[in-house]
Amino acid sequence: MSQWTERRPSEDFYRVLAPDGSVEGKPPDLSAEETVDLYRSIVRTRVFEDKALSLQRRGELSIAARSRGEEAVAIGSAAALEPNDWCFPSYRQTGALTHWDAPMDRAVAGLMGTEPETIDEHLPVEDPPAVNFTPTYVPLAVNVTNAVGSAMADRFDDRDTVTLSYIGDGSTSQGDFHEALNFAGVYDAPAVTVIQNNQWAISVPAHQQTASETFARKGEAHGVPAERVDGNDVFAVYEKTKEATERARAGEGPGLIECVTYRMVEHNTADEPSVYRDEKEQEYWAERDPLDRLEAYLREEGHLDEGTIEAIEEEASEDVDGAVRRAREVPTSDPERMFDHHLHTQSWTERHQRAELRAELEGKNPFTDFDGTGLAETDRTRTDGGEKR
Amino acid sequence: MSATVTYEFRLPDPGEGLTEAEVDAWYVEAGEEIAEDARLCEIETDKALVEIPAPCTGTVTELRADPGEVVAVGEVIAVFETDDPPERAPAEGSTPQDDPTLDPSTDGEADEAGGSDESEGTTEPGTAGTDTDTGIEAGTAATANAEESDRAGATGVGTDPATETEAGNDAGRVFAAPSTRRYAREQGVSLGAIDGSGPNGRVLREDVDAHLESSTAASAPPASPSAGSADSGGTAATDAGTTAPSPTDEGATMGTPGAAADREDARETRRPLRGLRGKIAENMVRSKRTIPHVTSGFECDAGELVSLKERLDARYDQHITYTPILVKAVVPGLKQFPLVNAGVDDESEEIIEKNYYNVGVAVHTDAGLMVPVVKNVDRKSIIEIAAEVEDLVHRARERTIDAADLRGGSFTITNVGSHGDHGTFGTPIVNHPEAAIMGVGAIEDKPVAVSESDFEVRKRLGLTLSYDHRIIDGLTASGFAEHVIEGIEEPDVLLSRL
Repeated sequence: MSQWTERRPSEDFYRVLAPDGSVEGKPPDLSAEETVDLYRSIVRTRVFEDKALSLQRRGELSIAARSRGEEAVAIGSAAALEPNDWCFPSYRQTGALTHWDAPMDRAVAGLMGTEPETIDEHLPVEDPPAVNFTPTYVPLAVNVTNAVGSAMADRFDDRDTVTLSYIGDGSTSQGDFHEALNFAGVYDAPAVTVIQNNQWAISVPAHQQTASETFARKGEAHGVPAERVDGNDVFAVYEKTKEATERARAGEGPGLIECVTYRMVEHNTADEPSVYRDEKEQEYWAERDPLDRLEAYLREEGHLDEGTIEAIEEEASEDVDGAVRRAREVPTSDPERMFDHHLHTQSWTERHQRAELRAELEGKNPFTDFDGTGLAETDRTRTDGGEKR
Repeated sequence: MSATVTYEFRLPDPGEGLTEAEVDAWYVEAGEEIAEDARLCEIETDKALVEIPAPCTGTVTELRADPGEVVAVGEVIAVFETDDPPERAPAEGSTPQDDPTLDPSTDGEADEAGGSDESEGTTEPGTAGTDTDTGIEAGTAATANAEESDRAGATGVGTDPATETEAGNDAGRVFAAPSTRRYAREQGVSLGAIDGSGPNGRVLREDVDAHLESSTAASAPPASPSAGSADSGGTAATDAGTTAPSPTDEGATMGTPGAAADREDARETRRPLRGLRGKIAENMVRSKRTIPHVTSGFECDAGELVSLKERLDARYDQHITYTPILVKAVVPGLKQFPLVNAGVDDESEEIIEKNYYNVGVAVHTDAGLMVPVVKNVDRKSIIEIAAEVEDLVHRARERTIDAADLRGGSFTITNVGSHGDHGTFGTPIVNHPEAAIMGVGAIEDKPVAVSESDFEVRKRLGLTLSYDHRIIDGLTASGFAEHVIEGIEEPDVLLSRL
């Protein structure tokens, strides 16, 4: 059935925990509690995303993307941040938000299609995450250029914050990625970029994406030190991100980390992977699951037992259910709110589009392009370029 | 949250912009309890088999769709009794509703489904046209492979009015479960005439029965305003996917007290709007929705046209009708007035002036309208066009025509005068994404004033031109029509322009 063949990526990468949970390298300098927190974050992310899938399937959300099996990438890397650092996630890094306790109810409300302004009114942030998160980017790669720009600003202003952003294997083919890395390299921006190489850019396999031997090597062209790690090993991801953020914080410039993982599930709810790939490949990756190996390690170390696991899972379900409940209490947004706060000032195009939408909603002809009908008087003058017709 | 309420679960869009799905299997039976997130059913979309989880914990009281049934997004597929309905807060600025079953489709999902047929539907040019047979109304036709792709068309059109009705139905609404509404409708009872005994005056099925009994006891005919008025009265919501009511034997039912016995079979019959008809409907809706239509009427002398046609027909083995001559006659006009041979790209908001002259000719077939396109008519002779039209029409009627022959038109001609003796004019619908369509009436003998005090009987031909007012103004349309008419009235002029 599958249209593409895929190739298993080389395991020539940095790894601490073997797939069976045995220790191959040196575990990072984390307390037992912090390590269990990583485990908890993976569980919570999984519960949250599975709920999102369910809500989408029954029509409460329009679309949902999960990161099942890839959670260690976002969680291990975000865990390496310090308070006040910046994080520019895309839709495959729910784990980064979960790990820093970003409010889930707001996330659900957003997925339900509610405008940020409405969410702010009904679910104000009482306890913001210690790390600064931008809104989740849906357009890809542009979060990396934005992150590097933000990091450059921090450097110019002598702030010692670090900026972390994410990109997939597919979007490394976009110009934005290279522009971002080029600037980061030239300006020593305190920006760490994580490539979440999950082998599939929707239906394009990684080996069709680039002729580069690895994605990490793309850093070389831009003078950005790069690492390649086992993305299903939360310790490896944490360790190498920590090194990169510390270097960046010390003013030594940017870092790039390729995390090798696998997209176990659909790209998002509008996708059907069985059409283009061999679903059997999941068996290989299921044995490399990040949660399983961390659990095995924690049990071995005596940090985790059945009771703790159950408590974590139960708490996750309760929290997610509560978030969904609260999100449902948020009214659907007035469609016109989508225009609010787009720009610092209003623009003619924005007013025009607003008028078109209003006409459409009122069942009128939305085509106001030609004479400005439906626009306010001041706008009409502008449409006409000031001339009388 | 504590009281048990009825929750109607509507078929969600499980993908992105899907409009319908086939129910493949149910994992529960009516009457069974189910937990939230447990698998409820499996549905098949254009893309995939998708498992739908239960939206809430409760009892499934009703399953509305049989396995194998194709259901439009937004239609109720299951009914739950639940303590915990997954309902969202009312929209910003709206008054809170106390009706717990108020459907969730008034927010994004169902509306999206309704609106999506514009973007989802086929955008093939040359699929619309006009009816050569009705003599009144120009129609819109479909591609040859319409039946394979009929699903999108059928539901895209079907869902829209239904969701609008539900959404705009708050005022004076009578509360009742859709099953009760359907039952009442089948019984020919207006919900408004019934005192509901349920919570908040909700009309229950028993109330409908009680009402029927009392009416029968009083030997009155069943209170039966037509299905149409029940639907449009603003008191009863229509089921999603409702098509136009066709009260075939309404008269019989209404007039006969004993007709209640015949209720099973037939105040109206329903069938899916799909296949070629569905495609026609979809194209019509798209054209009318996106193109602000204006129709201008013209009448010209056809004496020379008739004579030319007869001479040519007699001269050549190839049968010559008016169509190939008219196809040829519009070409100089299309060249002179490029906007008439243009179109709007709705996506990019651009005007496309076409430097080719492909004229569609609307054909009535047994299955509905089709518009085969004669390509590059500017480079073909009348004889060649005549032969090609004959072949295209034949293949359209046999349903053996290639899809390629139904695409790529830049202008369409439709015969609105060939059927029936009494038609005067029609308002053709532009064959989206073209910009204009010309309807040709019947050639008739008519009295024409030749001086202030004298009439003569002359051959007259009525023409109607419908056009996209976004890009064609009345002046341009008239200019084009006058240009064409000059050629029709004086074939020498036409010849000089070819």
